[in-house]
Amino acid sequence: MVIASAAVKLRVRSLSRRYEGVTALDDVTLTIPEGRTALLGPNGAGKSTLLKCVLGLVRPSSGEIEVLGIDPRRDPLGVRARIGYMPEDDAHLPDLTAVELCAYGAELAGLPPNEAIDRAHAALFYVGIDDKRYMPVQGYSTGLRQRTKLAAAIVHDPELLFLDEPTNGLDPASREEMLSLIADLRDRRGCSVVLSTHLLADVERVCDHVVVLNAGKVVADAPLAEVLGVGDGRYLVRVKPVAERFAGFERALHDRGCSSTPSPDARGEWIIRPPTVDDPTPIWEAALQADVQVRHLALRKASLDEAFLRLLA
Amino acid sequence: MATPTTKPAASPVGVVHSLAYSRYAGPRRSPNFTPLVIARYALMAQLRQRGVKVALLLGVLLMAIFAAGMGFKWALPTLASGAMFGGAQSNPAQLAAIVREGEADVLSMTLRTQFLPTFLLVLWCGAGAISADLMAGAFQFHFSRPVSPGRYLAGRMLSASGWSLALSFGTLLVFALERLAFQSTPLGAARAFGLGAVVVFLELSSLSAVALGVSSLTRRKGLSQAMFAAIVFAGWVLFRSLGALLRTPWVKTLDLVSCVDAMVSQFNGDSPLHGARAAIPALAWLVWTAGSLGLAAWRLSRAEVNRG
Repeated sequence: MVIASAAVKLRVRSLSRRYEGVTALDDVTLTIPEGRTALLGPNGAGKSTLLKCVLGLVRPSSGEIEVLGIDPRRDPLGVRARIGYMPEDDAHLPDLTAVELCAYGAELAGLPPNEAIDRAHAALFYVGIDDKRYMPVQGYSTGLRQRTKLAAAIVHDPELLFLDEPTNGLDPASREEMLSLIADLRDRRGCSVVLSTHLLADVERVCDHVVVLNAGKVVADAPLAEVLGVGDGRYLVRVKPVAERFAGFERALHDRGCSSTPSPDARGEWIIRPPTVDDPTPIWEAALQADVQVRHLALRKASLDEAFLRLLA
Repeated sequence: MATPTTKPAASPVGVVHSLAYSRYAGPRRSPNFTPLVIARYALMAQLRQRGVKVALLLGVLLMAIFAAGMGFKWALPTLASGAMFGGAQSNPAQLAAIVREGEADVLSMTLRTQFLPTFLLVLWCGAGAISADLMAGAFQFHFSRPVSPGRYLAGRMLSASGWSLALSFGTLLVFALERLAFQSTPLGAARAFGLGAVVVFLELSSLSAVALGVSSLTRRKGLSQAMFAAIVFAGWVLFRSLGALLRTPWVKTLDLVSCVDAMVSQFNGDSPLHGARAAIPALAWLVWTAGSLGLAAWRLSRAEVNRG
């Protein structure tokens, strides 16, 4: 897929990072466009190492990185001033309140003190922390800590935001709010988001681009629709539920080399794999032969879980 | 026509989409301010710790006691000589010696007055600083922002010594003003203050550097504080004993505290070290300070921004 240069937020070419005896990243090439991108992969896939390289904290063994048009190896501080990072683990300073923590983060990013305190309040209000913002962060619940981390990550108005497992430990309502905030950050604030997570439902909910890493290699780098759309060649077929014709339909399908699985509730839904992936003609022919009325026929889209497992396999 | 109401609009259900959070297009300051920002927030947080408050109160109390004592000591010869009342000034050489001794007192007594509060403050604020940051995940907080390890270390140095610096300079200022009130000329008092400032800088920089150095070795705050205390006190005992055993005065100046004390003696002109050995205290200070800072910088250069 070709993405216009101006819309690219992160570009990685042939990136490798080797530790002693371990290759964490192996010739990784990927492009992260504007919008909301998911960084998926099992444990040890290289997601954290990739983030470290992007933040300029780990020097790659080879390859090139370009974040917002800047090489983090040459100007790591310049890159970090324009990006936000919400780590998975706790990241607060002892004895500071949420307001002070956010203002501190803003000042470290170069904002003047008065602006920093104003934006700290605005960011905390945005993530839904009200009067508790004046309490020390170490006394917060998991949900409040996650929100505080998000506020601290966005307080300096980053152009690109890296979120590491942002919904970890949240109850369903808080999780929904967090996902809404992530969606809003892109839609209304113009901040592109890279979401590193294991929760595929979160990805389906908010992301429009997916990068899948496995054993240090990129196994997918495509829009979410494309990843989901490329199923396993099976079609979802819905026919008029006339049960006495189903046996003949099944026989006609098998005669044409199709494998089929009828829906167990006999509502007339079938999952059919024709002998040629892109050609549903045998299905039409079987339906004509068995005098079955086809009401719906479309390539069956895999769930992200299925797509993820297929990509890893 | 709609009637205006004072009742605020109902908050949106679910996510709070605040209009206050918007894009920022204002000025940004140079990263050179970063150490000051780190120090300011750290000093603010330190004031919330009971140990720091107690150490500060102790420092103020000791300052008052020693200021009164030194004032009494310095006032006596002045009163005895009658200089204060325009009386006898028959022995200028004796008076000059008293003035020199008094100005030498400023350097040594500033360190002695504030040694315990300084040690406690550096122990609380410096020896656990990097360990606490490691434990709380503050490395990720700092190093995912435009903060270099060097600036972080500079900020932590300032925050480790900030309150001690305030106490020591307060004490120094009181002593210098007392000198001015009793015997010294303005120039003499200013000289004593200037040398005192150098001595305070030497003591606090070496103590803070060692505190940060040991703090960078472990994520256990208590352990790093214990290591710091051991270096200060066990080092003092060790080198004192060695010096006495070997009958070599310069060995006694090798520990963290004594090297600065030896430099104070040199400033006051009563050091037993002469020739090439006169450089030993300064070298010892340099090794403690630069070595510890180098250790901390090396550890920080290996800091990781995220775990997992």
